Amino acid sequence: MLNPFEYFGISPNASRAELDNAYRQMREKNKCDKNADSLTRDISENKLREIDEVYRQALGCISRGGRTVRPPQKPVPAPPVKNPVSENQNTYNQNNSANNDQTNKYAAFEKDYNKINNLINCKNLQAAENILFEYNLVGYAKWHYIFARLRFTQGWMNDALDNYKKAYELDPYNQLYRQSYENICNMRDGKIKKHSNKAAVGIAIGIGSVYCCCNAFPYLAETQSCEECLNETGITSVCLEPCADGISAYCNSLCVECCGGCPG
Amino acid sequence: MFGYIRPFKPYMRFSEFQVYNGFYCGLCKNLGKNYGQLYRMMLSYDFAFLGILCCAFNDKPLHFEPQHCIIHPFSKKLCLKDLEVLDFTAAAAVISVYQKLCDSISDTGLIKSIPYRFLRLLAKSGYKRAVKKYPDTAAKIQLEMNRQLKLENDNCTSLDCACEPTAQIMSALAGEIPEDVEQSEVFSGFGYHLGRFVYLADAYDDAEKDLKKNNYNVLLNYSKDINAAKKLADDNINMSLCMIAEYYSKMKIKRFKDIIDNVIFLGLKSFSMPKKQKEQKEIVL
Repeated sequence: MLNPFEYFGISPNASRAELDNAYRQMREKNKCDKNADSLTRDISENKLREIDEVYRQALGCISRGGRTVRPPQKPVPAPPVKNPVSENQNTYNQNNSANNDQTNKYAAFEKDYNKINNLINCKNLQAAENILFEYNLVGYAKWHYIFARLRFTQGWMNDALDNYKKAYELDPYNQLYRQSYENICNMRDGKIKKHSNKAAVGIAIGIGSVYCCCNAFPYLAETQSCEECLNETGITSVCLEPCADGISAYCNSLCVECCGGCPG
Repeated sequence: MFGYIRPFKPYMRFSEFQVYNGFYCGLCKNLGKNYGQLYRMMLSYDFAFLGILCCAFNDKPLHFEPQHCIIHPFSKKLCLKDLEVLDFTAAAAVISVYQKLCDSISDTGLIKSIPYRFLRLLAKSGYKRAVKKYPDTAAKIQLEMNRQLKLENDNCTSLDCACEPTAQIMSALAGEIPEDVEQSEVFSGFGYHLGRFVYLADAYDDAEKDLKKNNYNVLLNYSKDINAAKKLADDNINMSLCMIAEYYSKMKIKRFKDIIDNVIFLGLKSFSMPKKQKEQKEIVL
């Protein structure tokens, strides 16, 4: 495989500034004259595209600290289990069975989590709401997070804000919860991003769902990262489906920031 | 006269403002022609905006012409000539106004509601005409208005729950505009948050009055302190405005983009600014 650093002629430990410099120089060298014939222009365009592609790979390498493989998946946090402390054997048994029920509930919730996620993505909101109310794991960060996501998709912003806040307070080290809470706080403080009227360009709403650049598949994957940039801001959402255009190179495993935009 | 979805005049070009007024005047004339003079007095800016959205989505050529009207007997104002494009908007306005009238009657006592009852009698024929043209929309609006009444009687404490009926009405009205399903969803979402904004802006403005008269106001259920209640409304309005902007960026609008940009990004936020000149504070430049 082509080594991006060798391509630009810099050392693998080069900084971002050095990479940018090398990229600029290479582009200058390969830019073709406006008056050149169409064949020369085509060749030049292909070369520039190649340079852009390798630059993106090099960027990814730098942010990964030189790694080329995806980091191992983060382990799912174990559900909280209460310690049974009791002298009476009957109460001990009762507590034990109650704790078992609780543990089973959390385990069942973990299993159903993806199902609830998919229901929200498919806009089957009533079903998702029913399942969430069945569990009603108030005090469990993940439940608050997915409930906030549901409320956000429904348009109930006040409830969404409260639940994102709760999820963040219960698990402040979770980057996703922190990012979601920060995003909704920005919305609450009135920071509107003025969009241009380009309907088909990927818009990272940042909370709840990330639309693939072709708007075909809203998908949120918490434990996977964009292959190229391992986006440090916490938007670890990836579109894992090929772009509806069939040009999967753009959308597959890339976050919206790195995806160049649906060419269609 | 009424309505929270207004343009922000200081940042609007004069020609755009003339077009905007053209729609307002056109809607007024349509109401007068099809539903009687009574409904002309109940016109609001919200429905003028809905009319602009309807026309922004298609390409049909529109003719504007300077015309007289009762309010402006001496100077002619630019008015829309093709009144049939505003048929849906006019019907929606008639249905909403009639339902609000029914709500006011149920809210007030027997003696105080006599003028409302009289108005309702006059307005009934126009309402029946509107229902005949758009029965589904009428049924939906009636359902949501009933739900709103029930929520207020039950003293609903959840902000989102209370906003829901108005939001659903606007969502249904906006969703009717485009023909293809994908844009219809975007418009529905846009209308939903617009409805939330209208309800919250109304609650924000009425907060002080409702506190004195001890009327139902969902903000006061969270806190009796006026400032805290207004801050809550402000926060939720900001969030809804962000969502409006998100949905707006996905809408495929063909024209009047400048006017709609002005209303959405500037006009909506300016609802709490003082409207009368004498209420404005001193500005230092």
